[in-house]
Amino acid sequence: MNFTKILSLSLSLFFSVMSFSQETDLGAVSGNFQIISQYYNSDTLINAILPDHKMGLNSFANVNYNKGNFSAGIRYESYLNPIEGYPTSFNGTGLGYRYANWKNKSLDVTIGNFYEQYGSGLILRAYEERNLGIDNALDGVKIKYTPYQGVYLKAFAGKQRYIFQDGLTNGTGIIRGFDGEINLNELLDSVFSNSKLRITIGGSFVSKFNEDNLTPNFVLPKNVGSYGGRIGLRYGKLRFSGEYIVKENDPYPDSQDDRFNYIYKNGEGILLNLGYSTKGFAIDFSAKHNDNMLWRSTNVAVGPTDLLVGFVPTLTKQHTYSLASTLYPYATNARGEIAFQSDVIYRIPKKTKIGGKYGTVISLNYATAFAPKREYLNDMTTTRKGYKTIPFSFTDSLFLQDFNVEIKRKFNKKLKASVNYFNFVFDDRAILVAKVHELIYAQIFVLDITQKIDKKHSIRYEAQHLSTKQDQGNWAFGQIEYTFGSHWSFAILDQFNYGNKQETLRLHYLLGNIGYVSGPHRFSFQYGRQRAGIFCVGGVCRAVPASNGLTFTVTSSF
Amino acid sequence: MRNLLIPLAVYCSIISISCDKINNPIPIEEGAIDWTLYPGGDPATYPYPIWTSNNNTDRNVLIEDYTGHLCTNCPAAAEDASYLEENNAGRVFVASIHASPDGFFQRVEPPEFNTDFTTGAGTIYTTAMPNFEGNPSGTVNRIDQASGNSVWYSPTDWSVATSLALSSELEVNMQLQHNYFSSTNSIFVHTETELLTELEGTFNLVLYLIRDTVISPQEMLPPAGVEEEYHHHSVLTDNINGTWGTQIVNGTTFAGKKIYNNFSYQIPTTDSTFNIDNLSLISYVCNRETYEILQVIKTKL
Repeated sequence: MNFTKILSLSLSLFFSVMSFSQETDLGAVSGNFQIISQYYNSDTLINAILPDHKMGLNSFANVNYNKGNFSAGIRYESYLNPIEGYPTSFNGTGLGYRYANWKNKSLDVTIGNFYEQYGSGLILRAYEERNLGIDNALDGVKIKYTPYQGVYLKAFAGKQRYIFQDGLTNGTGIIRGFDGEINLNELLDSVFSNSKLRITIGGSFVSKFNEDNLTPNFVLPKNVGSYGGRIGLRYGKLRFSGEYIVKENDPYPDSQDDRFNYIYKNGEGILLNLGYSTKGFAIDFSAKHNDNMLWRSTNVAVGPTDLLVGFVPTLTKQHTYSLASTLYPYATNARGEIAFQSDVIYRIPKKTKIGGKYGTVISLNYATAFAPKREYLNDMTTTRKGYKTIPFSFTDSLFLQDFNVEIKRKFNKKLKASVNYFNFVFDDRAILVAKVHELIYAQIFVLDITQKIDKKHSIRYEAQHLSTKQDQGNWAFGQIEYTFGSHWSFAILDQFNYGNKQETLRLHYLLGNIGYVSGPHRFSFQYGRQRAGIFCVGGVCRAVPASNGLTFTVTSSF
Repeated sequence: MRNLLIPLAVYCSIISISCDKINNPIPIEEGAIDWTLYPGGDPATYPYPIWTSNNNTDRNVLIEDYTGHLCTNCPAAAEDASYLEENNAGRVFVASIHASPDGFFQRVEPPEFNTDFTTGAGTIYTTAMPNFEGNPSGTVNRIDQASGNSVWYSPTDWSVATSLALSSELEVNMQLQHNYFSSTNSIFVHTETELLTELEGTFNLVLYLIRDTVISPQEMLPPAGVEEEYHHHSVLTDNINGTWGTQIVNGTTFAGKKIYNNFSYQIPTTDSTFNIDNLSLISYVCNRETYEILQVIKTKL
């Protein structure tokens, strides 16, 4: 930093402090931070490699200042070195996020970094999923304007966070967009004030400009537009939402399959949801048509989670139990997929013979995804549209089938339990987990019991079993977690791949955990083996390598 | 501020329609497609071909018959070549190339021999491919002879060489489609080259413009002398995409890869032999280092 910059920064700080000191209200400072530190051991049996740096550290701290209509903040991040499995494009230490915002009742202006989502996110979702190493925050200017009650307008222009090398590094592409949403019940208060029908309609436009791809083989569009509309209806206990997005010609390289390499077909995304809920019962049905909706602010090949503008969610339940969530999780197929999901939740009333004293909750979930039916055009020498699809027309090429049931019951004041059953049919080509089998059939049973010993002590038992004839074979999982006082918890868990066809790989992954919580502060130590797996959130996944070592975590807020 | 709504809506609409819509993603290659030859000149309306899968399993053969209208032994060689072509219809094609390094048998010599059949490419081939032995001579898929370091065969060896070449493995498949526009007397040529095996090296696609028949004097063996109305068969007239054609492979490529090329060409109006009905295209893929022709097809225009 040169002298001029130091001087100007110092003066700014001085005048800021002076101006604050003239008022009685100095504003409020808030924030949170997290430190994850891992010390590694070599473990050749599970292919856990001891890196040269022996220790990884990911940390960040958000510091926000707020006074009246004004707020500003920074996030300082450190990856010294990034923990194993985290994207190596996150490295070093520095500012990763900074913003300033001013807003009143009708206008809201942000400069610097911001997150944003239009509709369901198909057309725009700038978000952070720290556990996955995703942060595609926008860097530019954003305006929200509410000219009338019930009319919400938004616009922005900016670049996207790409990598972190001792600070924020943006991609070169520029994204701009605007979105309008009208809540008819709010806007036409006199007409709809007593209506059971609630109507919201919206529309978005997002475009990008980039000149990253210099291939001489194709004429690439520099400005690519995406647009669409959405509607939300609610009538009493019934609700419906739908969104339709079109993305214009946006060719990307695809080294895996020539049929998708630099195709100029418009992308198309449709999301539909219909639900009904009443006391003790809810049913929900979702359908998705996603075709050629990879939507990045660059047209060169980058990492799978880099520079994503749009987000295509999976229609699957986000599982939390270890064997169900990390061995065969489903990732959205970027080329396209037709997916359906249905949820039914029923609470057997309490104080009945079957429901018991506290009632019993049964949740059913069924999700499936197929490859779209494509009519290939043989036009790769000419228009390169590639193929045609019809919305929701799909082949019998199954990507995923996930059926799962959960039964939860509280038996008495001290004992509650849940039983889960999962049945997966998983196409390994969607995300190469096993790298051997194309279709994996797996069944998982989970028993989760929590027993409260007294006011300060409780113990939780968790047992899981996965059976499959493919991939690594059967797994067993057991965990005991003991919580005492309001501060301490101990847990020990083991995952055992006892069904592995290779005897030498029938390994135990034993892990111990100690946690301490004090107000907003949480500390934990974890020691042991962690198996390789796939970590997914909302259909976006990253591979986590096997590791062996000690992990220390601190999280806090102020 | 509410008065800003309409201007804002107009501004947003302008932004919305300012995106790039690409109708023709393949860049126009310099010298490959000249859109001024397409009536109307609008590439967006051009009727590009639709390709169907190429089920051919046969490797075809190109006999390049290096000849000259003053070469008295050449008519006999041309007969041999035509015999092989007729007896292997659709599999063997002949290109009569009037060329030699010194051009002695190809020279223009009034009053009878007024036609210059030579082409720049043909002459270059006789010097670039080593050990040319003089007219008549020829190549059979430019396969190197067993004796080594020569792709040249005397006419007596063409038959055996052709049989061997016909039974060799097919590594490349080709298809060609074209459009002829009479108002500009132009052809637009589209090729699909499919690599059936992994190839390593440099491979080029070459397009010959062939006149099917040219009636012109030919010096015959004594005592016949000059035959005034000799039927010169399948005469190389021009190279549409240059002497060595268009490079389509450089390095290693995977089996199954399809390569597409587009060319435009304005047909000369020198004389009636250039009528579209008398023209064909011979297109082939060759190894640029060994000259070997991997596949050849002939298309009547």
